[in-house]
Amino acid sequence: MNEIERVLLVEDDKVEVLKFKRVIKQLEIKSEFSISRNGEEALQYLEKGEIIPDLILLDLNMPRMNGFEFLEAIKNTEFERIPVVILTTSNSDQDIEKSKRYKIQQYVVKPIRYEDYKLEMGRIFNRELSV
Amino acid sequence: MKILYFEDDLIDQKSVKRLIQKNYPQVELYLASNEEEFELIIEKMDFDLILADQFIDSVHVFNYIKRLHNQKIVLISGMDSIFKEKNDIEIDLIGFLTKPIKAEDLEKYIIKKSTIENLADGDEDFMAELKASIKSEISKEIALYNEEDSNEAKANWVHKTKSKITLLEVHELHTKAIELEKKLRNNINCDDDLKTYLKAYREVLKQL
Repeated sequence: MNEIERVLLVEDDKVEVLKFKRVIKQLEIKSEFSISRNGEEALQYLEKGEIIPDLILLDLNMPRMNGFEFLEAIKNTEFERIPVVILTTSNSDQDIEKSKRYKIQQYVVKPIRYEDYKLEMGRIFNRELSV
Repeated sequence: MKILYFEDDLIDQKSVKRLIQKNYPQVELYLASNEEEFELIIEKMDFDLILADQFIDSVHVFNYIKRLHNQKIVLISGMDSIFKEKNDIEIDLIGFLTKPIKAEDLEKYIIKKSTIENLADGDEDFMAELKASIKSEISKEIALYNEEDSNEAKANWVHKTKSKITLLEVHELHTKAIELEKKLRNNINCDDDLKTYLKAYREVLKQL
């Protein structure tokens, strides 16, 4: 199993970031986290090349550069090999269908109930990542 | 909330367990199906509530629980006769339930924590930080609303607001948000509804 040591969370909503951090703490996940507030920031982060994450958790609905625009931007680049899990509240067929155009690991609709959200996070971090 | 369910009938145990897990996901449920298990667990931890079946292996449960002090105990029975028995034995029960137990029967005994309380899990600093973040995000979103935006942009806006509504458990508004987003994604104009929604969203901010 590939260890998830470094994770890049791409999320613009402060509340979601806080919620995410809380769950990670409660689940005692030891990975190192970096946060980008939109696709553009995430791209700049990757291009700096200082740290290459083992996993990108990507929101879709973000300002400046949304999740799909980010996936488009890393398409056919060296960053395309980084496993991406889309973590969104959108369960629209359109978004799910669109996500299939990209090499993503999984499309996760954020569960509404906190306990379910926690379970889902636990699953993501225990899952084997195929690179 | 920590609950111990003391029940020797494994079918009843399973069904109440399922009921609690489904309706009260915040509850930390422990099970004991015989005297040994009960003694062992009582020794180790305190509970916010004990749900105890009237008879465990044909022995009246009062024999096991009578030594407990300052415990909230609800007695469960298959018969209504427990009301009479309660008066015969000096045990401080907070209530009685008759089988089969339904979710609503448990409502008055189980404290239903809100999602944000559940998230904070007693950490007051985190709760304060969370509330401040929710306030700032809602203010930001209200300021970002633009009547001139396209329906798609408006749908994205509603979608953003939805996560706060969900977290704060404003159920009516959540339903409204789903309806609005759906309409807007189908390019149906609903400016009046959006104005009402925005007003209600402002109210949510005021309540915080």
